[in-house]
Amino acid sequence: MIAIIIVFVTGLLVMLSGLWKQRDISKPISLLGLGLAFVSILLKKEFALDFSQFYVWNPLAIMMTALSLFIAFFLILNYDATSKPENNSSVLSMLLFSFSGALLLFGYTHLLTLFLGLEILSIPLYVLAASDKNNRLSLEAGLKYFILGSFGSAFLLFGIALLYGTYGGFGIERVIQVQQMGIALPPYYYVGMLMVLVAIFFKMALAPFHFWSPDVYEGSPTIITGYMSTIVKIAASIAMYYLLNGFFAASAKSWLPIVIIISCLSFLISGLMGIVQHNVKRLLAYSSISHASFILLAILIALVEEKSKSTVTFYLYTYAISGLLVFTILNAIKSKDNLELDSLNGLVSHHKLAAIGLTIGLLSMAGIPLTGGFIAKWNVLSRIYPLNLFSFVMALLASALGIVYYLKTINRVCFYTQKDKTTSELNSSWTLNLTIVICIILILVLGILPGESFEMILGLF
Amino acid sequence: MELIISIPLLVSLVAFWIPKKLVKEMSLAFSLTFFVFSCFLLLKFDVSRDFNFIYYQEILLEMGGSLFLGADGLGLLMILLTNFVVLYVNLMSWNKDYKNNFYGWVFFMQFALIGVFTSLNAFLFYIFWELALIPIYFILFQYGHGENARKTFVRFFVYTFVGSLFILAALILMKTALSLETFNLKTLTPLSLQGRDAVIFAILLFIGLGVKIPIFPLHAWQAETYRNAPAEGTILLSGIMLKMGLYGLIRWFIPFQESMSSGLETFLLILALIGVLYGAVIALRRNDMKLIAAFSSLSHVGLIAAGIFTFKYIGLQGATLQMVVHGINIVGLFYIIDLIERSTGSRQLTELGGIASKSPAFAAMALIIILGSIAVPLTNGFPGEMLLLFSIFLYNPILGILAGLTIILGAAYMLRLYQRVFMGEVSEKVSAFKPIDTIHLVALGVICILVFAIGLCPQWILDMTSINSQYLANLLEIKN
Repeated sequence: MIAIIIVFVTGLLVMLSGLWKQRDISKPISLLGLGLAFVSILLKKEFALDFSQFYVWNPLAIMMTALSLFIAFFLILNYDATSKPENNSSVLSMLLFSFSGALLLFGYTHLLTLFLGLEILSIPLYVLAASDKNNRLSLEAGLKYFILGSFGSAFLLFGIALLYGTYGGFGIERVIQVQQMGIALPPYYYVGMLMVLVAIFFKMALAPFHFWSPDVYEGSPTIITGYMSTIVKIAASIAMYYLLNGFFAASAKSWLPIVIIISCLSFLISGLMGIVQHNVKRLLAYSSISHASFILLAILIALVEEKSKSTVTFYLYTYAISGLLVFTILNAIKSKDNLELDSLNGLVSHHKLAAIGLTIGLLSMAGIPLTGGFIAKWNVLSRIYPLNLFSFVMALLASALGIVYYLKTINRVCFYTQKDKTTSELNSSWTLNLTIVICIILILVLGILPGESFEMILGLF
Repeated sequence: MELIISIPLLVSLVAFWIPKKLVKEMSLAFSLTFFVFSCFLLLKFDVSRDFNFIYYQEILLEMGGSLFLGADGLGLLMILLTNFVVLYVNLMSWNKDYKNNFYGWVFFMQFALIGVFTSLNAFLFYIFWELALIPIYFILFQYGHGENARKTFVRFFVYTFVGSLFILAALILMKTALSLETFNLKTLTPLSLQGRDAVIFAILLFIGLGVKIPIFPLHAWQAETYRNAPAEGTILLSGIMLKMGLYGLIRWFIPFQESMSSGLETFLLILALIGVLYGAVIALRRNDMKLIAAFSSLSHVGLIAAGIFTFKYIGLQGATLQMVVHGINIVGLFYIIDLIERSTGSRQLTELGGIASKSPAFAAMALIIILGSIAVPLTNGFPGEMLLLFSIFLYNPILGILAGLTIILGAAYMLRLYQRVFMGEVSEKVSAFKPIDTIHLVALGVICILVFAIGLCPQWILDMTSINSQYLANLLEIKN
């Protein structure tokens, strides 16, 4: 709980540090702040802050906060500092503010906290998406994200208002109280529920609300894309989890068909569209749509089966770590054509470690055995089969289609040779190498010994 | 057992990193010693127990998996075959200039294959099954050649991956229908699926395994992939990866077919037989030696699969024997083709001729191996093929006669190949025949000895798998 405050305060400090022109200390301060927040979780002390009306520090929140702190730490570690300290401090401080919004979403018990968290998450992100001034696509991405995101927030707010009309309160306790009274829910409740769900579907980039995602992923600076693909996805997924599992748990019959249809549509669209892409970041955007769909199914599973709650967290862990790995490597590639597939040609001959890391990360996303991604996919697939056959089949279809575009990318990395037109270099640095090694070890350990290692991780927090 | 499986993995990692000058020698030395070591395992094998060399660790428990390894007769034979093939891969690549990662991937493949053949847990089996795809893909893609090679290999990978997704679906279906806690073979075999579940399970598993074998409708990836692959890749594919599918049929498909309707059984048998005839007929018309061998392979494994689908004791025994024999013979065949290609620069029947006059020893050994694959008596092909044909004939005389055509057709295309390539006048390409290194001649010689040895005494192989086949046949007779 204190972690949110630490992150926010770090953000403020980083913002202020931009005033000091002599040296650039924004990165060290942010890393220090994140490290401090991580330590505060490990200490497991209750800090006597009772905001339980708005936010609760339950085990899920602890685990997700820990994961996101880990990811954010390495994302910022690999952030390329520009020459001007004030730019760095702006970018990093906004990243930290956005991150504190994400942390709010990990344990909310109040619908306005949901709104608050989502807004704090998104608004700095709109600016960050546009932060690459030299790239026209970046401005386009920021604008698109801002406009569509504002729509999403409007839907969210209206939906929350309608839910307030139904329940007479925003908090989860009030909701449970009303549900236990067993009153028939008025029609505008369903409208409100639908609007809130749509807003979160938008954030998770599920079809048919995914249209912003490839453009925004392509245009944003790669580290920001990495942030969006990992932490924002995690935050939106957990937001969805609390909604489906808490606020809308009683009306499961009404949202179940919607969730199934949306997830199947997402599988189909992500698979078919991903195959024809030739830009790596767009390709990864479509792949993350398919992962979001898997996560949605995992949330469904966690709702139905009590002992399968770890499916969601395990999937998020493996997905986030592979996303971190892939995007930090992509970030280091200075490509002339904004990371078209050809930029990756021949990576294996130039930078073996990066090539190995990228391959393992992509294999984990594809779900090849020995990687954590396979175990995560197996968990979801084996548990969704008895629940809903159609989504099971679509999920298999998505895996099959996915392997085509993952393979395309791995081919470029491992086999193709560089042609002159698209020369790109990789800035190798100890931060990148460290990130790669740690992520590879985690992915393989989670893939080979999922039970033991995951329990160990749980035990830490 | 843990040694058997982990040593190739370690060697693979070593091979990736040691300097290039040493890697060839090291690989050959290692694969030779490992093969000899596995021959020693034969001596330690206890025929009376069902599974030897068992190793059990509890990992991956929540998924129903466990590190449950063990080898029965069939498994051990397959391990021997794997090591044999890897040894020959190293022999074949002796004169070629392959980089470290080639050898690294070959040994990684050995690791994955041994894993497939010794897994006694379905989940573990699946993991190794999918894992085996990665090294072969890397070997093919990096060292393959030919126009459209890249597209072919991508198609190969996607085709096989989708096939393994079918196996995944079958496993999940089984887990849900039987509410399984674990996929261990010992726990699974007493259970059986009912009705519609059983049929769907059978079809899914058939498709998944059938892609690898390949069985008739799912064979489209095979010819082009073999043609564009490097020679070593081809013997890995046809010598041992094929056997993964057949092994899967025997180990994981058959035990659960007690309630299979005989209609479905006949249908699968007919599909396999269509493959036999289809492969043979196409092989008659092809001029590229590699394609002839590829289609002959399709034909032979179709026959083995058909034998398995007869669900009889003789059929299963014949299938196991023929799996080993076909592995040896096809390695020999592709070795010959590769040597000819290296010495003359061509694989086309139209461009070759008269090699016998250039290198009589080579031609003689080639003849022996070809006779072996035709299943001439006294060679190793004969006992297995006879058992398989008996079994199919017992199942249905008409199908048996159709299957018997394979002998005639097989003789036709193989002898056609031999005549065009080795006999007759020396063609242009052959006149510049570079002499073959002794090491290759020795390697071929060993295969020829094996052809005769196994042809004269196949009984020890049959004894090794007798318990397993008997057990499976009994399982299936209950419903017959």
